[in-house]
Amino acid sequence: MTDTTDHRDGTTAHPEDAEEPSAPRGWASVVPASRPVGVAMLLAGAIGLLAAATLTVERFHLLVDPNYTPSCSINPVLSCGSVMVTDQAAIFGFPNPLIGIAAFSVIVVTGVLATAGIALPRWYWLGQTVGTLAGFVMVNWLAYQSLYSIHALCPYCMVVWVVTPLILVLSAGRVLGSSRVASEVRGWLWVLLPVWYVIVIVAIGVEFWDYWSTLI
Amino acid sequence: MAQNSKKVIVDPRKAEKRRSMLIRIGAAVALIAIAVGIGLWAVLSNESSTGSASEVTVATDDNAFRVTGAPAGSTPPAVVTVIEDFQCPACAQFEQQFGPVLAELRENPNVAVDYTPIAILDRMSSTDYSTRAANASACVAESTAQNGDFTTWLQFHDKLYAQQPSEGGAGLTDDQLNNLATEAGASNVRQCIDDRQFEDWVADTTQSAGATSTPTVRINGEDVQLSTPEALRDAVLAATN
Repeated sequence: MTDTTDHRDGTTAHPEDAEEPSAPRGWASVVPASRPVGVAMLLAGAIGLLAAATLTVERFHLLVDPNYTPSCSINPVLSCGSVMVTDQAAIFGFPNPLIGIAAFSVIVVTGVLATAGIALPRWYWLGQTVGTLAGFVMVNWLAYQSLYSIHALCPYCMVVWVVTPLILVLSAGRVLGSSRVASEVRGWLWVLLPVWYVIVIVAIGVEFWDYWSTLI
Repeated sequence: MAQNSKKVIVDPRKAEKRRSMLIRIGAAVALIAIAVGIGLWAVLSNESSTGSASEVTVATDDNAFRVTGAPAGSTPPAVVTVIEDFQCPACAQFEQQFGPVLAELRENPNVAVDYTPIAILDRMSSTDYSTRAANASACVAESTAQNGDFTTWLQFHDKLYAQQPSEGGAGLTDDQLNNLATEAGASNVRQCIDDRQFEDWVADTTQSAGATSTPTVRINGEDVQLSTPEALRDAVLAATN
Protein backbone atom coordinates (compact mmCIF):
# COMPACT_ATOMS: atom_id res chain seq x y z
CA MET A 1 0.00 0.00 0.00
CA THR A 2 1.45 3.38 -0.96
CA ASP A 3 0.48 6.36 1.02
CA THR A 4 -0.09 9.06 -1.57
CA THR A 5 -1.33 11.56 0.94
CA ASP A 6 1.91 11.46 2.81
CA HIS A 7 3.89 14.52 1.96
CA ARG A 8 6.74 13.75 4.28
CA ASP A 9 7.97 10.75 2.33
CA GLY A 10 11.70 11.20 2.32
CA THR A 11 12.57 9.91 -1.13
CA THR A 12 10.30 12.17 -3.15
CA ALA A 13 10.70 15.88 -2.85
CA HIS A 14 7.62 18.05 -2.79
CA PRO A 15 8.60 21.68 -3.30
CA GLU A 16 5.31 22.88 -1.92
CA ASP A 17 5.91 21.04 1.31
CA ALA A 18 7.17 23.85 3.51
CA GLU A 19 5.35 23.06 6.70
CA GLU A 20 7.94 20.48 7.83
CA PRO A 21 11.27 22.12 7.15
CA SER A 22 13.16 19.70 9.33
CA ALA A 23 11.83 16.57 7.66
CA PRO A 24 14.46 14.71 5.63
CA ARG A 25 14.08 15.01 1.90
CA GLY A 26 16.63 13.27 -0.28
CA TRP A 27 19.93 11.83 0.80
CA ALA A 28 21.64 15.19 1.33
CA SER A 29 18.94 16.46 3.67
CA VAL A 30 19.78 16.51 7.33
CA VAL A 31 18.06 14.27 9.82
CA PRO A 32 17.06 16.10 12.98
CA ALA A 33 19.14 14.95 15.91
CA SER A 34 17.42 13.07 18.65
CA ARG A 35 19.03 13.22 22.05
CA PRO A 36 17.74 9.85 23.39
CA VAL A 37 18.93 8.11 20.22
CA GLY A 38 22.27 9.86 20.56
CA VAL A 39 22.70 8.86 24.20
CA ALA A 40 21.68 5.25 23.46
CA MET A 41 24.10 5.09 20.56
CA LEU A 42 26.89 6.66 22.61
CA LEU A 43 26.40 4.09 25.38
CA ALA A 44 26.12 1.12 23.01
CA GLY A 45 29.16 2.29 21.07
CA ALA A 46 31.21 2.81 24.22
CA ILE A 47 30.29 -0.62 25.58
CA GLY A 48 31.14 -2.24 22.24
CA LEU A 49 34.43 -0.32 22.08
CA LEU A 50 35.31 -1.45 25.59
CA ALA A 51 34.58 -5.08 24.74
CA ALA A 52 36.59 -4.94 21.50
CA ALA A 53 39.52 -3.23 23.23
CA THR A 54 39.51 -5.76 26.08
CA LEU A 55 39.45 -8.65 23.63
CA THR A 56 42.39 -7.15 21.73
CA VAL A 57 44.41 -6.66 24.90
CA GLU A 58 43.60 -10.21 26.04
CA ARG A 59 44.77 -11.45 22.66
CA PHE A 60 48.10 -9.66 23.20
CA HIS A 61 48.46 -11.29 26.62
CA LEU A 62 47.76 -14.67 25.10
CA LEU A 63 50.40 -14.10 22.41
CA VAL A 64 53.03 -13.14 24.96
CA ASP A 65 52.18 -16.06 27.23
CA PRO A 66 50.34 -19.01 25.62
CA ASN A 67 49.49 -20.29 29.12
CA TYR A 68 47.73 -17.04 30.02
CA THR A 69 44.15 -17.49 31.21
CA PRO A 70 42.03 -14.59 29.96
CA SER A 71 39.85 -12.81 32.49
CA CYS A 72 36.74 -14.06 30.70
CA SER A 73 37.59 -17.77 30.83
CA ILE A 74 35.22 -18.66 33.65
CA ASN A 75 34.25 -22.26 32.91
CA PRO A 76 34.26 -24.70 29.97
CA VAL A 77 31.29 -23.00 28.32
CA LEU A 78 32.03 -19.38 29.15
CA SER A 79 35.54 -19.13 27.85
CA CYS A 80 37.17 -16.66 25.53
CA GLY A 81 40.61 -18.25 25.63
CA SER A 82 39.44 -21.19 23.55
CA VAL A 83 37.41 -18.93 21.25
CA MET A 84 40.13 -16.35 20.60
CA VAL A 85 42.58 -18.85 19.16
CA THR A 86 40.21 -20.22 16.51
CA ASP A 87 40.34 -19.37 12.80
CA GLN A 88 36.90 -17.78 13.11
CA ALA A 89 38.35 -15.22 15.54
CA ALA A 90 40.45 -13.79 12.72
CA ILE A 91 38.20 -13.80 9.66
CA PHE A 92 40.43 -11.48 7.63
CA GLY A 93 43.71 -12.80 8.93
CA PHE A 94 43.93 -10.45 11.90
CA PRO A 95 41.93 -10.54 15.15
CA ASN A 96 38.30 -9.49 14.61
CA PRO A 97 38.21 -7.09 17.60
CA LEU A 98 40.56 -4.75 15.70
CA ILE A 99 37.63 -4.11 13.34
CA GLY A 100 35.50 -3.54 16.41
CA ILE A 101 37.85 -0.91 17.80
CA ALA A 102 37.69 1.09 14.57
CA ALA A 103 33.97 0.61 13.98
CA PHE A 104 32.75 1.29 17.51
CA SER A 105 34.85 4.48 17.59
CA VAL A 106 32.76 5.78 14.70
CA ILE A 107 29.58 4.85 16.59
CA VAL A 108 30.82 6.70 19.68
CA VAL A 109 31.49 9.84 17.59
CA THR A 110 28.06 9.62 15.98
CA GLY A 111 26.53 9.20 19.41
CA VAL A 112 28.35 12.26 20.70
CA LEU A 113 27.26 14.37 17.71
CA ALA A 114 23.64 13.29 18.01
CA THR A 115 23.68 13.90 21.76
CA ALA A 116 25.10 17.37 21.13
CA GLY A 117 22.14 18.10 18.88
CA ILE A 118 24.06 18.20 15.64
CA ALA A 119 21.92 17.12 12.69
CA LEU A 120 23.69 14.78 10.30
CA PRO A 121 22.85 14.26 6.62
CA ARG A 122 20.79 11.27 5.76
CA TRP A 123 23.58 9.71 3.67
CA TYR A 124 25.72 9.68 6.77
CA TRP A 125 23.15 7.56 8.61
CA LEU A 126 22.79 5.36 5.55
CA GLY A 127 26.54 4.76 5.52
CA GLN A 128 26.55 3.89 9.18
CA THR A 129 23.56 1.59 8.71
CA VAL A 130 25.26 -0.28 5.86
CA GLY A 131 28.42 -0.62 7.94
CA THR A 132 26.53 -1.79 10.99
CA LEU A 133 24.56 -4.22 8.84
CA ALA A 134 27.87 -5.78 7.77
CA GLY A 135 28.80 -6.00 11.45
CA PHE A 136 25.45 -7.57 12.25
CA VAL A 137 25.93 -10.21 9.54
CA MET A 138 29.33 -10.94 11.05
CA VAL A 139 27.82 -11.19 14.53
CA ASN A 140 25.31 -13.75 13.30
CA TRP A 141 28.01 -15.80 11.62
CA LEU A 142 30.25 -15.64 14.67
CA ALA A 143 27.42 -16.54 17.02
CA TYR A 144 26.61 -19.54 14.85
CA GLN A 145 30.25 -20.61 14.79
CA SER A 146 30.59 -20.09 18.52
CA LEU A 147 27.57 -22.23 19.33
CA TYR A 148 27.79 -25.02 16.79
CA SER A 149 31.44 -25.22 15.77
CA ILE A 150 33.59 -23.94 18.65
CA HIS A 151 31.13 -24.99 21.37
CA ALA A 152 32.14 -22.21 23.73
CA LEU A 153 30.88 -18.73 24.50
CA CYS A 154 33.15 -15.74 24.84
CA PRO A 155 31.57 -13.19 27.20
CA TYR A 156 33.19 -10.08 25.66
CA CYS A 157 32.17 -11.28 22.20
CA MET A 158 28.60 -11.63 23.43
CA VAL A 159 28.69 -8.01 24.60
CA VAL A 160 29.28 -7.14 20.94
CA TRP A 161 26.40 -9.45 19.94
CA VAL A 162 24.16 -7.41 22.26
CA VAL A 163 25.09 -3.88 21.17
CA THR A 164 25.51 -4.39 17.41
CA PRO A 165 21.84 -5.14 16.57
CA LEU A 166 20.80 -2.27 18.83
CA ILE A 167 23.07 0.14 16.95
CA LEU A 168 21.74 -1.24 13.67
CA VAL A 169 18.13 -0.53 14.61
CA LEU A 170 19.01 2.94 15.92
CA SER A 171 20.90 3.81 12.71
CA ALA A 172 18.30 2.38 10.36
CA GLY A 173 15.66 4.36 12.21
CA ARG A 174 17.46 7.61 11.31
CA VAL A 175 17.67 6.65 7.62
CA LEU A 176 14.00 5.82 7.40
CA GLY A 177 12.84 9.38 8.02
CA SER A 178 9.45 10.29 9.37
CA SER A 179 6.89 9.19 6.79
CA ARG A 180 4.09 6.95 8.02
CA VAL A 181 5.45 3.91 6.22
CA ALA A 182 8.90 4.68 7.62
CA SER A 183 7.70 4.93 11.20
CA GLU A 184 5.74 1.74 10.69
CA VAL A 185 8.93 -0.04 9.52
CA ARG A 186 10.86 1.52 12.39
CA GLY A 187 8.29 0.23 14.84
CA TRP A 188 8.65 -3.29 13.49
CA LEU A 189 12.44 -3.10 13.72
CA TRP A 190 11.97 -2.59 17.46
CA VAL A 191 9.81 -5.72 17.50
CA LEU A 192 12.45 -7.78 15.71
CA LEU A 193 15.24 -6.64 18.03
CA PRO A 194 14.02 -8.37 21.22
CA VAL A 195 12.92 -11.36 19.17
CA TRP A 196 16.46 -11.70 17.81
CA TYR A 197 17.84 -11.52 21.35
CA VAL A 198 15.45 -14.20 22.56
CA ILE A 199 16.29 -16.50 19.63
CA VAL A 200 20.00 -16.24 20.45
CA ILE A 201 19.39 -16.75 24.17
CA VAL A 202 17.20 -19.79 23.50
CA ALA A 203 19.78 -21.24 21.09
CA ILE A 204 22.46 -20.80 23.76
CA GLY A 205 20.20 -22.38 26.37
CA VAL A 206 19.45 -25.40 24.19
CA GLU A 207 22.97 -25.94 22.87
CA PHE A 208 24.60 -25.91 26.29
CA TRP A 209 21.67 -27.41 28.19
CA ASP A 210 23.76 -30.30 29.51
CA TYR A 211 26.04 -27.78 31.11
CA TRP A 212 23.38 -25.38 32.40
CA SER A 213 21.41 -28.26 33.92
CA THR A 214 24.41 -29.17 36.08
CA LEU A 215 24.34 -25.67 37.57
CA ILE A 216 20.71 -25.90 38.69
CA MET B 1 -10.69 7.48 33.63
CA ALA B 2 -13.22 9.76 32.01
CA GLN B 3 -10.42 12.10 31.10
CA ASN B 4 -8.58 9.23 29.52
CA SER B 5 -11.41 8.18 27.23
CA LYS B 6 -12.01 11.80 26.31
CA LYS B 7 -8.41 12.08 25.22
CA VAL B 8 -8.78 9.12 22.88
CA ILE B 9 -11.83 10.61 21.22
CA VAL B 10 -10.19 13.99 20.80
CA ASP B 11 -6.99 12.60 19.29
CA PRO B 12 -7.64 9.68 16.91
CA ARG B 13 -4.01 9.71 15.79
CA LYS B 14 -2.96 8.93 19.32
CA ALA B 15 -5.44 6.07 19.48
CA GLU B 16 -4.15 4.78 16.15
CA LYS B 17 -0.62 5.00 17.45
CA ARG B 18 -1.57 3.14 20.59
CA ARG B 19 -3.33 0.47 18.59
CA SER B 20 -0.33 -0.19 16.34
CA MET B 21 1.90 -0.18 19.40
CA LEU B 22 -0.27 -2.89 20.98
CA ILE B 23 -0.16 -4.91 17.75
CA ARG B 24 3.62 -4.72 17.77
CA ILE B 25 3.92 -5.74 21.40
CA GLY B 26 1.54 -8.61 20.72
CA ALA B 27 3.58 -9.73 17.72
CA ALA B 28 6.80 -9.50 19.71
CA VAL B 29 5.32 -11.55 22.55
CA ALA B 30 3.97 -14.15 20.11
CA LEU B 31 7.31 -14.50 18.28
CA ILE B 32 9.20 -14.73 21.56
CA ALA B 33 6.78 -17.37 22.82
CA ILE B 34 7.33 -19.40 19.63
CA ALA B 35 11.12 -19.16 20.02
CA VAL B 36 10.95 -20.22 23.67
CA GLY B 37 8.56 -23.03 22.77
CA ILE B 38 10.91 -24.38 20.11
CA GLY B 39 13.75 -24.14 22.62
CA LEU B 40 11.84 -26.06 25.28
CA TRP B 41 10.86 -28.70 22.75
CA ALA B 42 14.50 -29.06 21.66
CA VAL B 43 15.67 -29.44 25.25
CA LEU B 44 12.95 -31.93 26.17
CA SER B 45 13.36 -34.06 23.06
CA ASN B 46 17.06 -34.36 23.79
CA GLU B 47 16.51 -35.27 27.39
CA SER B 48 18.13 -38.54 28.42
CA SER B 49 15.61 -41.32 27.90
CA THR B 50 16.85 -43.30 30.90
CA GLY B 51 16.03 -40.82 33.65
CA SER B 52 18.56 -40.32 36.39
CA ALA B 53 18.11 -43.42 38.55
CA SER B 54 20.99 -45.85 38.93
CA GLU B 55 18.67 -48.89 39.00
CA VAL B 56 17.42 -50.57 35.84
CA THR B 57 13.68 -50.79 36.38
CA VAL B 58 12.96 -53.04 33.40
CA ALA B 59 15.16 -55.85 34.74
CA THR B 60 13.95 -58.73 36.91
CA ASP B 61 14.86 -58.98 40.61
CA ASP B 62 17.89 -61.01 39.50
CA ASN B 63 19.00 -58.11 37.27
CA ALA B 64 18.13 -60.00 34.11
CA PHE B 65 16.38 -58.85 30.95
CA ARG B 66 13.53 -61.33 30.65
CA VAL B 67 12.38 -62.10 27.12
CA THR B 68 9.35 -64.34 27.04
CA GLY B 69 6.09 -65.10 25.31
CA ALA B 70 4.48 -65.55 28.72
CA PRO B 71 2.22 -62.81 30.10
CA ALA B 72 4.11 -59.94 31.71
CA GLY B 73 4.88 -60.44 35.40
CA SER B 74 4.33 -64.19 35.39
CA THR B 75 7.13 -66.74 35.64
CA PRO B 76 6.78 -69.58 33.14
CA PRO B 77 7.77 -73.13 34.16
CA ALA B 78 11.12 -73.02 32.39
CA VAL B 79 13.54 -70.13 32.81
CA VAL B 80 16.74 -70.19 30.80
CA THR B 81 19.34 -67.81 32.17
CA VAL B 82 22.16 -66.74 29.86
CA ILE B 83 24.98 -65.02 31.73
CA GLU B 84 27.27 -63.34 29.25
CA ASP B 85 29.97 -60.75 28.80
CA PHE B 86 29.99 -58.67 25.62
CA GLN B 87 33.78 -58.85 25.55
CA CYS B 88 33.89 -62.65 25.69
CA PRO B 89 34.62 -64.45 22.38
CA ALA B 90 33.00 -67.66 23.65
CA CYS B 91 29.78 -65.69 24.23
CA ALA B 92 29.83 -64.47 20.63
CA GLN B 93 30.35 -68.03 19.51
CA PHE B 94 27.57 -69.27 21.79
CA GLU B 95 25.28 -66.60 20.41
CA GLN B 96 26.04 -67.67 16.85
CA GLN B 97 25.49 -71.35 17.61
CA PHE B 98 22.59 -71.22 20.08
CA GLY B 99 20.96 -67.95 18.96
CA PRO B 100 18.35 -69.53 16.66
CA VAL B 101 17.21 -71.98 19.33
CA LEU B 102 17.05 -69.21 21.95
CA ALA B 103 14.94 -67.17 19.52
CA GLU B 104 12.63 -70.15 19.14
CA LEU B 105 12.42 -70.64 22.91
CA ARG B 106 11.64 -66.95 23.45
CA GLU B 107 8.44 -67.45 21.44
CA ASN B 108 7.33 -70.31 23.66
CA PRO B 109 4.84 -69.06 26.29
CA ASN B 110 6.11 -71.71 28.73
CA VAL B 111 9.68 -70.45 28.52
CA ALA B 112 11.45 -67.27 29.58
CA VAL B 113 14.96 -66.38 28.50
CA ASP B 114 16.73 -64.26 31.11
CA TYR B 115 19.69 -62.40 29.64
CA THR B 116 22.16 -61.30 32.27
CA PRO B 117 25.04 -59.24 30.89
CA ILE B 118 27.90 -59.08 33.36
CA ALA B 119 31.39 -57.58 33.28
CA ILE B 120 34.19 -59.94 34.25
CA LEU B 121 36.56 -59.14 31.39
CA ASP B 122 37.33 -55.48 31.99
CA ARG B 123 41.02 -56.37 32.17
CA MET B 124 40.83 -57.61 28.56
CA SER B 125 40.50 -54.08 27.22
CA SER B 126 42.23 -50.83 28.01
CA THR B 127 38.89 -49.05 28.45
CA ASP B 128 36.80 -51.36 30.67
CA TYR B 129 34.86 -52.39 27.58
CA SER B 130 32.95 -55.14 29.42
CA THR B 131 31.47 -52.66 31.86
CA ARG B 132 30.82 -50.02 29.21
CA ALA B 133 29.09 -52.50 26.89
CA ALA B 134 26.98 -53.99 29.70
CA ASN B 135 26.10 -50.46 30.85
CA ALA B 136 25.14 -49.48 27.29
CA SER B 137 22.90 -52.52 27.00
CA ALA B 138 21.24 -51.54 30.28
CA CYS B 139 20.77 -48.03 28.86
CA VAL B 140 19.08 -49.42 25.76
CA ALA B 141 16.88 -51.74 27.86
CA GLU B 142 15.83 -48.98 30.27
CA SER B 143 15.14 -46.64 27.37
CA THR B 144 13.18 -48.98 25.10
CA ALA B 145 11.75 -51.88 27.11
CA GLN B 146 9.45 -50.04 29.51
CA ASN B 147 6.51 -51.92 27.94
CA GLY B 148 8.23 -55.28 28.39
CA ASP B 149 9.24 -55.49 24.72
CA PHE B 150 12.95 -56.24 24.47
CA THR B 151 13.10 -56.31 20.64
CA THR B 152 15.33 -53.24 20.45
CA TRP B 153 17.51 -54.51 23.26
CA LEU B 154 17.93 -57.87 21.48
CA GLN B 155 18.97 -56.08 18.30
CA PHE B 156 21.55 -54.08 20.21
CA HIS B 157 22.69 -57.29 21.92
CA ASP B 158 23.17 -58.97 18.51
CA LYS B 159 24.98 -55.94 17.12
CA LEU B 160 27.38 -55.95 20.06
CA TYR B 161 28.36 -59.53 19.24
CA ALA B 162 28.50 -58.86 15.50
CA GLN B 163 30.92 -55.99 16.16
CA GLN B 164 32.71 -57.56 19.11
CA PRO B 165 36.17 -56.02 19.53
CA SER B 166 39.10 -58.37 19.94
CA GLU B 167 40.48 -58.92 23.40
CA GLY B 168 43.47 -56.83 24.41
CA GLY B 169 42.39 -53.76 22.43
CA ALA B 170 40.55 -50.59 23.32
CA GLY B 171 37.07 -51.94 22.60
CA LEU B 172 34.38 -49.91 20.90
CA THR B 173 34.25 -46.24 21.84
CA ASP B 174 31.27 -44.70 23.62
CA ASP B 175 30.46 -43.03 20.30
CA GLN B 176 30.38 -46.37 18.51
CA LEU B 177 28.22 -47.88 21.26
CA ASN B 178 25.82 -44.96 20.92
CA ASN B 179 25.73 -45.41 17.14
CA LEU B 180 24.93 -49.11 17.51
CA ALA B 181 22.20 -48.25 20.02
CA THR B 182 20.75 -45.72 17.60
CA GLU B 183 20.91 -48.23 14.74
CA ALA B 184 19.11 -50.74 16.94
CA GLY B 185 16.33 -48.20 17.47
CA ALA B 186 17.14 -46.58 20.82
CA SER B 187 17.23 -42.80 21.13
CA ASN B 188 18.73 -40.34 23.58
CA VAL B 189 20.94 -42.89 25.32
CA ARG B 190 24.18 -41.00 24.66
CA GLN B 191 24.24 -39.41 28.08
CA CYS B 192 23.55 -42.74 29.78
CA ILE B 193 26.41 -44.34 27.85
CA ASP B 194 28.81 -41.45 28.38
CA ASP B 195 28.08 -41.17 32.10
CA ARG B 196 28.03 -44.97 32.64
CA GLN B 197 24.74 -44.44 34.42
CA PHE B 198 24.30 -48.13 35.34
CA GLU B 199 27.94 -48.92 36.09
CA ASP B 200 27.21 -49.80 39.73
CA TRP B 201 24.20 -51.84 38.70
CA VAL B 202 26.39 -53.82 36.30
CA ALA B 203 28.91 -54.40 39.10
CA ASP B 204 26.09 -55.63 41.37
CA THR B 205 24.84 -57.94 38.65
CA THR B 206 28.32 -59.32 38.05
CA GLN B 207 28.68 -60.10 41.72
CA SER B 208 25.20 -61.52 42.35
CA ALA B 209 25.22 -63.65 39.20
CA GLY B 210 28.04 -65.69 40.71
CA ALA B 211 29.35 -66.87 37.37
CA THR B 212 33.09 -67.37 37.08
CA SER B 213 33.09 -67.89 33.35
CA THR B 214 30.94 -66.82 30.45
CA PRO B 215 28.73 -67.85 28.92
CA THR B 216 27.02 -69.57 31.80
CA VAL B 217 23.66 -71.13 31.00
CA ARG B 218 21.20 -72.09 33.70
CA ILE B 219 17.86 -73.80 33.48
CA ASN B 220 15.69 -72.89 36.46
CA GLY B 221 18.77 -71.86 38.37
CA GLU B 222 20.82 -75.00 37.66
CA ASP B 223 24.05 -74.65 35.69
CA VAL B 224 23.94 -76.77 32.57
CA GLN B 225 26.64 -77.77 30.10
CA LEU B 226 25.12 -78.38 26.69
CA SER B 227 27.12 -79.07 23.57
CA THR B 228 24.44 -78.59 20.95
CA PRO B 229 21.46 -76.25 20.48
CA GLU B 230 19.23 -79.30 20.18
CA ALA B 231 20.33 -80.51 23.59
CA LEU B 232 19.45 -77.08 25.01
CA ARG B 233 16.05 -77.16 23.39
CA ASP B 234 15.32 -80.64 24.72
CA ALA B 235 16.49 -79.79 28.23
CA VAL B 236 14.36 -76.63 28.33
CA LEU B 237 11.28 -78.31 26.91
CA ALA B 238 11.73 -81.09 29.46
CA ALA B 239 11.73 -78.45 32.19
CA THR B 240 8.41 -77.04 31.00
CA ASN B 241 6.58 -80.26 31.83
